[in-house]
Amino acid sequence: MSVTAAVILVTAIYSAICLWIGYYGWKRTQLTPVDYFLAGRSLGTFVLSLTFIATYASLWTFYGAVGANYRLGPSFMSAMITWNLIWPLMIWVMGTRLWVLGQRFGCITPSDLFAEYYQSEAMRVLTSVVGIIALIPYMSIQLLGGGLAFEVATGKAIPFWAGALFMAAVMMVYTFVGGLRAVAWTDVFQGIFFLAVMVALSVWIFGIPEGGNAFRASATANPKLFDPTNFGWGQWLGFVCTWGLSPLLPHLMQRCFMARSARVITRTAASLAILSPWVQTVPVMIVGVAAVSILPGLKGGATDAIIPLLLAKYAPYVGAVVVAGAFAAGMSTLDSQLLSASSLVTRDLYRYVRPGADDKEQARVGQLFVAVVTVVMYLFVLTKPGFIVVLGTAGAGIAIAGYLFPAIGVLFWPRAGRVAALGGLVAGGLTAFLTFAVWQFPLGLHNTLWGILVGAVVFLVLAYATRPLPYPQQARFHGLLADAIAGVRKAGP
Amino acid sequence: MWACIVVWFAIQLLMNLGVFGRGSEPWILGIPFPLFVNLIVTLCATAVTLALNRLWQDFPERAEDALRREGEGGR
Repeated sequence: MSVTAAVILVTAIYSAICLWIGYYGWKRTQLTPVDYFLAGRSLGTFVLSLTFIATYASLWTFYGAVGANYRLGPSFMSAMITWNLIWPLMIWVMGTRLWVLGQRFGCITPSDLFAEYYQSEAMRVLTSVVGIIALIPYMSIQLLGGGLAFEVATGKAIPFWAGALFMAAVMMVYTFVGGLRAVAWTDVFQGIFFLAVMVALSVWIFGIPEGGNAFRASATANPKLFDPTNFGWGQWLGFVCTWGLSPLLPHLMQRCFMARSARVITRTAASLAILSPWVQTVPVMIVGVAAVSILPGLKGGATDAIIPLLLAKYAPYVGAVVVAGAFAAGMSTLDSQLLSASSLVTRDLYRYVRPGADDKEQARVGQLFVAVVTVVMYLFVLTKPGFIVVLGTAGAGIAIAGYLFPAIGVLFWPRAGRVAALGGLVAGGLTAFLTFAVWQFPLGLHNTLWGILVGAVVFLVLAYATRPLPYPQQARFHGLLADAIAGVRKAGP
Repeated sequence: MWACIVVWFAIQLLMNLGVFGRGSEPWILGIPFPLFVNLIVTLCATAVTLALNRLWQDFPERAEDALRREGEGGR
């Protein structure tokens, strides 16, 4: 059997399993927004943990992070492991509060929560638009990477456009029919598959001829590899802030609304504290660092192809499994982002087109947008735009630097009123965009850090210069949180 | 708890600034020093993070009770 045939066979089996899970999700999904977008808030610890980790780990983890470990060594690993410990911590600090408020106020999107608290339609539209801006370029990266993985593994026997089309079609079908249930259950399968492939690669690499003493050999091949200052503290801190605070991204924030109970959300945070730094990050580091001596001399973007190059050299047929692993990493992120973008359009923007739309109509419109966004994204990716990665990183930074301030007001600090939250959102998001797209990384600081710094100044000044929300409105949220988190009910102003 | 997290974060950042040296020496158990420090610090951080599970063990009951008292809890 040729390598191309092996790639097609393994990917076909993998896709058939995803579609079968999608069918299973469809049989159990009712056409209501809460069921279609949040699986009826019914996820248990096992499914929620794996949908979190599978959504969090993307094709970038599979290719880009391995390359970054190859170029920067433990300096990058130190950042990666730090953000992979911080974001599970954020599920505790923030996710528990989001779960309580999501249950009480029936929130489906982050905009639902912000608009309900700040009593502001401007807030609803702005957070929805910022969320969509953050998600679409990031989704395109996954599709772009999937198409390229197919093309490289088959020696261009299957062209880029066909690989990307196949990935988009499979993902769209199961997301369209099964909604979040299909997405979450495929994430379980894809997450286990992706993590197993990564762990297996990190063990296998020590068994190949040059892999036995890989760390010492890598230190000899690149004496600067283990210099902890390789990454630079401005980028280190920026990456840690961006991905450590990533539960603020819409598709991850929505996962906090999906837990079946309060116990599920805390158990999920505990399991993510193990899965994310140890099962995901350490294998990525081992493969990246060991590859320095096995595949010496790679530079820049070529380092992103370390896994395909290793397999092409030592185990070409295993490459078929790894393409499916890459598909799993990309699709599990892409499907969640696609459904989240669809919910933002349906719940937060479509209401202005058809104010009286009932639950069934909203769910149908959600399905329609899943299809429309997939087609638009595929056509966009066909142009292979080189700035997608730039836009993707900038997009995540914009959403995180923007969403941070309204979230602080809703979850922690009642002093921050409507004007402060809107000011922080606009100032943080806009600064994160400008310090990437116009004036990239001024003074060596990452754009997310600039967004957070400028947004924080505007947010604080406006919080003290303008009125907070009326006390009864504050008490609806912060009184409930004080009761749920600390067992203290605030009695009056 | 927050003190532990700040210490762990500070050690990682100081390492990145080169305070603990800039090479791979010494080697400990076949692992270069910066990597070894990273793994040990991360192990401690994971333990601290998991300890949160114990600190928050009353949260589920409190949260469900608070929602019940609100009268409109549940889904």
